Order: sequence, then structure tokens, then C-alpha cells
Amino acid sequence: MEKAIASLLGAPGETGTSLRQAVFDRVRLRAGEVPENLRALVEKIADRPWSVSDEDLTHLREAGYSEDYIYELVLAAAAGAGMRRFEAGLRAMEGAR
Amino acid sequence: MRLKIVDRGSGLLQRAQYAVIRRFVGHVPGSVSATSYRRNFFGKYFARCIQEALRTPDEWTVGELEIVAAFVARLNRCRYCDTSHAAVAAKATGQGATVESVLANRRAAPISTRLQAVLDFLEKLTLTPEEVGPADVKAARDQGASDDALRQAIYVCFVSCTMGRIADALGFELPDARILKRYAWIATTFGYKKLSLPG
Repeated sequence: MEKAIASLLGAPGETGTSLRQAVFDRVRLRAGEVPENLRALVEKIADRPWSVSDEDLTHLREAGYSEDYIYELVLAAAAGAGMRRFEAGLRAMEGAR
Repeated sequence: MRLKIVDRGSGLLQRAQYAVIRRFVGHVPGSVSATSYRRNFFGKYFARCIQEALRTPDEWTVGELEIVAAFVARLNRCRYCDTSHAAVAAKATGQGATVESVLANRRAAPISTRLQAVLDFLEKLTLTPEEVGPADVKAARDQGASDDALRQAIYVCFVSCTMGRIADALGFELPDARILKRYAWIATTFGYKKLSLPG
């Protein structure tokens, strides 16, 4: 898991590493900010992923974002949601020692 | 699939493999293309996480781990992951009716109290992660869940919550009943080791 997250947040890509980290932390910690034009998709992936629509991605494409950019954004947000639960679970176990 | 680049694959080798998969499975599963596209970026490593989470049958059987993945996917309302893992769980356990009853009304499902308790824990962890606390851990332990069993279940929750969101955001094509049977056979026979294909 460490390798997956380290690569996702640190490997060269279409998006900058600071944006990927911001998106990941926004979903993982519910803290920090992401650029306004990306916020709607990131929040949907965090809280109601089933509601993401074709239009959400078309909207970003039309705003000039490449498919690689969107792909990286989706991965960072999705992994942030998974990590949020992973860490909460381990914290609860730690507290029950 | 909403991103053409992911659907198409990263290189000639990957595209050739996709052609074979389309012929024998019916379509390229979204979980394969999403973890194969630019696989060194995330997919290759994440596929290893899926294999570790769902194919380390130390504390749980493979069937139970697949039930956990389907249960978390159902809570996340991810139809792709829900139906796929339910089909794999049915094949692995040989008890499709039990899998369906866990997803429809788990209190009435004929599963162990240990698994029931861990599903209670995971429901809270998936839907309201910040509300999970030591009392929830103790409740699961009281029903026989060891710390290793809980850790494994939390790991499955991580991969299911992550993949479910990738599936919904990228718009994975839903498999029909015929293709689901093929998914189930492949995942019970080979696991997820080859989910991410070299390009």
C-alpha cells in the first residue's frame, strides 16, 4: 500500500504533485482546499461517487483539462477516500488496546 | 468508460491483450483497464493491494473476503464492484443465496456471529468513518474477531472504497450475467495478481 500511495503522490504526471497531495488530503482529512473548478468532482468522489456523471468529466475536458489530468485527479480522490477509512479503522483499534 | 485513453490501453502489448480479453470475456473489465493504464503510476501497486487484501486467507476464507468486498461496495452504492464481488463470492463459497442474503438483509443471513460483527464494524467505517471508535472494536472482538481479522477486513474496506470510487468516477461498463460468470471463474482461479496488465 505504501508503494501505491507514494507513487500516486510523488511520481511525475500531468498534474503537479502538490495538487495530487491536496486532492488526496481534502478527501482523506476533509481539510485543505482544491482549486474551485475541480472541487465539484472531488467532493462527489468523496461523498457520493455513484452520482458522478458523464457531464462532470465532459465539463472538465471542455475547460481544457486532458484525460490524463482527470485520470490522476480521480485516482488521488479515490485513494484519499480509501485511506480515510483505513486510518480511521486502525485508530479505533489503537484506542481499544 | 468515460476516459478513452484508459479504455484504449497504454501500448501495443496491452492493446493486443485487450483484444484477446474482449474475445473470451466479452469486454475488458474496467478494473483491468483502470489498473493497467500507465500502471507504474498507481495501478500496478494498487492491484497488489487488492491481491493481498482479498487473497490472504489467514483469518477469513476467500469467500468471506469477497463477501466483505461486496458488502462494502453495496454500502458505497457501487454497482460494478457490488455485482462483481458478489459473483466471485458466490463462486468461491458455492452459496450464492447466502451471499445475496448478506447483501439484502445480513441480520437474517446464515453467517457466523464473528462475520456479522465485523460487517457491523465495516458499515460504520464505510459510511461514517470518523464515528468508529474503540467500543466498535471491542464489540467485534467480543464476537470472536481477532485483531488480525479486523485488520484484514479494514484493508478490504480500503481497496473496495478506493476501487468503487474509481469505477463510479470513470464509469466502468457493467457486466451482464454471462460476463459476471466469467469474472467469477477468473477471479477464483487466478486471483487478482494479473489484474494490472503490462503495456
